[in-house]
Order: sequence, then structure tokens, then C-alpha cells
Amino acid sequence: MKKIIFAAVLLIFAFSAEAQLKWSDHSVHTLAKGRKEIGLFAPLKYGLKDSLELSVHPVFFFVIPHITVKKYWKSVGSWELGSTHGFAYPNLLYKLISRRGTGGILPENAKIPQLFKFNNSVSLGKSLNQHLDLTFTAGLDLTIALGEGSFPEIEFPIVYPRTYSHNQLITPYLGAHLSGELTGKLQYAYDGTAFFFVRENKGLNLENNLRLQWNASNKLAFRVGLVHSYGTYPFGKMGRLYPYFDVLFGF
Amino acid sequence: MKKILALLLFGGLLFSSCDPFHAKIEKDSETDTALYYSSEKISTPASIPDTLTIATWNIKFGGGRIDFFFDCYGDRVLMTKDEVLSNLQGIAQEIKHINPDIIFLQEVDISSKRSAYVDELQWILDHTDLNYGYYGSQWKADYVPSDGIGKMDSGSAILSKYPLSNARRIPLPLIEEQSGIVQYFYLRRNMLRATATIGAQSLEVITTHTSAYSTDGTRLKQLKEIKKEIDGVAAKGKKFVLGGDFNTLPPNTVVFEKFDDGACDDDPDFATHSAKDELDYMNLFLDTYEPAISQADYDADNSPYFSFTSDKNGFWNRKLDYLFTNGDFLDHSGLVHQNSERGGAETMPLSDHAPVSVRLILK
Repeated sequence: MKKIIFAAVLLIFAFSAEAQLKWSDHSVHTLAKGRKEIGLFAPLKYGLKDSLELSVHPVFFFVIPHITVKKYWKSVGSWELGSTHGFAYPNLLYKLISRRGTGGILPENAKIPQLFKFNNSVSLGKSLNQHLDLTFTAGLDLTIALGEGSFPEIEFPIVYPRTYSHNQLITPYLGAHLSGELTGKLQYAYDGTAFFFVRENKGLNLENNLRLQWNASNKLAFRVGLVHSYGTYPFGKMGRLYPYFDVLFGF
Repeated sequence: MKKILALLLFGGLLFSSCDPFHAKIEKDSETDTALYYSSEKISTPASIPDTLTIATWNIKFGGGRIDFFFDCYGDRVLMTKDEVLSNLQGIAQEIKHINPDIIFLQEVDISSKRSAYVDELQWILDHTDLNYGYYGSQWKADYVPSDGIGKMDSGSAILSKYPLSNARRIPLPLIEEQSGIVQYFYLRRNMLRATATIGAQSLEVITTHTSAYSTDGTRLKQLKEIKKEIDGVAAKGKKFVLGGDFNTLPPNTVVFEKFDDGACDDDPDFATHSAKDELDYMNLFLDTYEPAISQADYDADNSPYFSFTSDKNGFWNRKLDYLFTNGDFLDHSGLVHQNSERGGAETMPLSDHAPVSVRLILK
């Protein structure tokens, strides 16, 4: 066990000696051309060009085919413009979790229409100094539902605002992203997002996501964070706080 | 230094975010987990009667006789709001018919996906002559990731025409044979206790709903805990009424296995086990306190006192619901409201349990 820890520490220090590259975040900036990143939980991201980034989750892709494209467009005065465009077909996953017994997130007899979910957003960002990057985002989730039935809502924080459009067509949202350097390799990031429920069960869901990331090198980073979700659900209002962590690999 | 403090705060927040599905009811105090309710219109009785009508009823979360998956008669998991309100209408009508001064209810949903998030306790208070209530969760989770159940908050309640106070939700032992993950999301049995004030008199009112499917002796442990609690009340010279769904057959029950409603016999999760070795469990209470239905009456003929069946097309086939006191019930006033002949109304369509009532001598 001691040998494994010693080797891990050596590895981290070896990685630390490299020149720093920017890790992916929620700003308008995309990964450098050819760079790839993946986390234990985070999706695989790939810098297709210096201004174009692709993102898919290698595990979930097989049960929820999806892709997200992030594009850096241009500078607009002192601000920079970017956008993201995503598509997902979640029915395979929903069929898998519609079951009796443990893991039955949805009822076995659920009749779910064919769902085609599109996500588009526009972002404006500005780097004030090394301690503060600021990005504002406006986006829209749009789900086209074909066929009979309805989606049995998953009224759980994080999931509910991202599946609201399954039954209600659209979910507009606004977001703000702040990030920067705390000390050397330690960075912080904050994402605040407001989802607007504009059709049935009208209301709002606010997500605050605060995280710390230690960039050991260009190839290894550790992330811990807290996400707080507060908002309207079919049963009323609820607020919840969840911790999370991830280990990111870049290559 | 500020950054270190910020990191510590961050770490502290991380650790405070345990119990991600908020299923551990016991992490809050016994008083905090007994939720107070009142009717939108309070109409306290003008005079104090000589006897109180006390009742208990497991209302099956307002599910009526919809064919749910766990009964093995169908595949339904979720109800529409219209279905829930329609079923509650029948339940409220029966409660008004019984006209209890105090009623214990089990399986009351206050915010569950399966019952369209209707607060059934508030609805019943607002649609009957009952004024006050206390609620204790038995099954609570932000999301139950099994069978498509989703959000759950279901429990027991005490409803009264007279003011209630000093309420506590007292936890009972959990089923030990379950794995940690199953136990985390499973029902957490309890006693709900409050003090009813009827004029100058106080009455301790306690309801419970013990485990149905344990085979590891958990239910007996729960029954002993309940006995200990009421013994404590009696030892202090206080009068009590205990009522609820004990999921336990009385002694001298003729049919204690292979019931005629056993549609779940092939399902290990919901199959009914033989109660042969449990027939003396209720002696814990019968030996010490007065039951609403006397054991002699039950011994003479079991069937008029049956209060449960999962088959809506059959007839009540076992007794699971009880009322006990250390005071005095009016002789032979105990009644299981089985149908129009015994109770004055057809209760079979309303729940898988029939209500039980009795008159308690107050003066």
C-alpha cells in the first residue's frame, strides 16, 4: 500500500513539472486543438479545432446517445462570444430504468413517447484578471415528443430541471460562470443557473455550483464541489445540497 | 488564512451533505418529526360527552381498490389526482359516518408521487368534523429508486375533534435482515403519541403500524417496544388508547396461512408468510389491557372481526387492526366496519383494511 501511495505522489509531482494548459470549463473558451479530457464522472471532451470542442459521455452514450458541441465565435469589444449545441435521445435509458424492483426509477408500466432533446445556448465572457473570468449564458432546452404517453417526471434536484422539457416542450435558462486562480494550481469555479418553468407547474429552479479544482498537471486534476438546488417541483418548493468529486485526466 | 478558512468551510459543507435522499427520519428529534395539522374550520364540540368514539383505519394512501403492483393484482404504481380525490371522498364519507372523536390513520400520504402529491391528512381534516391532527412519517425519501415509486412521504396520523399536544414520533426497530441500501430506502416504523385534552381530562393517544414482511423477529421487537411505552404511560397513572395496524393475528385464529387473497405467493417481496409461530404475539397486550374486540368474542367466531383482505372481490379474511386501553371501553361497543350489515356502509372499495371503532368511557 505504501508503495502505491509513493508512486502516486511521484506521478503527481512528475506531472506538475509540465507547462500549464487550460482545463475545460463553462467559459466561452474551448479546449486546445487535439487535447482530450475525461473524468471518472465527467464526459469525454475533445478539442476538434482551437475554436471547436466536442463532448460525449463514453459510458452513458450507449444508453442515451448524445453529443454537445461548443464553439468559440469571436471577440465583441472586450467580451468574447461562444455557443453550445447539444442533442440527446434518452428513451433507451428510460426504458432501462422503467422496471420493477431496485433500480426502478420509473414505473414499469410507464408509456413514454419518443423524446428528442435539443439544447442551445449563447455565452458572453470576459477575463478581468487571472483571478476572475466572467461568463453569462442564455439557453433553451427543447424536447420534441412523438407518440402517445407522457414522461413520469423525475422530481429530483438536478434531474428535474433538465427533464422538465420532456413534458413541457421548453425550459429556458440563464447562467453565470465565475472562475479563476486561487493559488498557483488551485482554481475555483462557480456556476449559477436559473431554470424557468414556463408551462405546467410554473416556477423557477436555481442551482448554485461551487467547486475547487487542483490542477496537478496538464494530465491530472482533482475536483471537489457542492451544488445547491432550490426550486419549484410538482409538490411544492424544495432545497437540497449535494457534494461531489471527480478526478480528471487530460491527454 | 482566509483561504484556509474558506477551504475548511467548504469541507464542512461537504460533510454536512450526508443522507442525500433525506430518508433518515430519525436524524431529527422525536418532537420535530411529529407534524402538527389543523382543519381550515375548527368546530370544537360544545359539550363533553360521557363516552368518546375512537377508531383506527389503515386507509392505504387513498389508493382504494386500484390494482397496484404490490398486491399482485395489477401493475399500477402511480395514481392521478382525480383518482386520489375520488378515493378520499369515500374515506371522508366513512369517517363522517363513524363520527369518531379521535381516529388513528395509517398509510396517510402527505407528499408522495404515487398519490399525486395530495396532502391527504389536510384533505381529510378539511372534509370531516375532525379539527386537529398530528402526523409522523413512516416512509420518507426525496426519491425511492425502486418500482418507479419516486418521492415518498407516507405515515401514521392522529386526528381529533379535541385539541392535541405534546406529540412525539417514537422510532421502532428497523428490519435487521435487510441490506443497508434496502433499509435506507425502506419503511421506518414508529409510534406516534400525543395528548388529547377533552375538557378537564387528558388522554394519551398512541398509534402504530408495525412491520408486515419481516421474518427475523423485528415485529416482535417492535411490539415489545410499544408495550414498554404504554406500560410507562400506565405507570404514571395516565389513561391511554393505543390503536393501529399491528400486522399480527390474534391468538386462536383459525386460518393463519394460505389465505384466499394470496396473489403474491410467488413474489418473495410481498408473499404472506405463515403466522403459525406468531399467534401468541398479541398476548403482550391482551393479557394486560382491554381490547376493543374481546378475545372471547373473537374466539367464538373470528370472521366478524376480520379487518383486512387484498382481494377486493373477496371478503375480509384476517384481523390486523386493534384498539387497546388501560381505561374502560363500553361493553361490546367494538365494531369492525366490514360492510353495510356490520357498520352501515360498504368499506371494501375504500381500502384493503376496514375501520375499527369502539366507545371509551370518559366519565
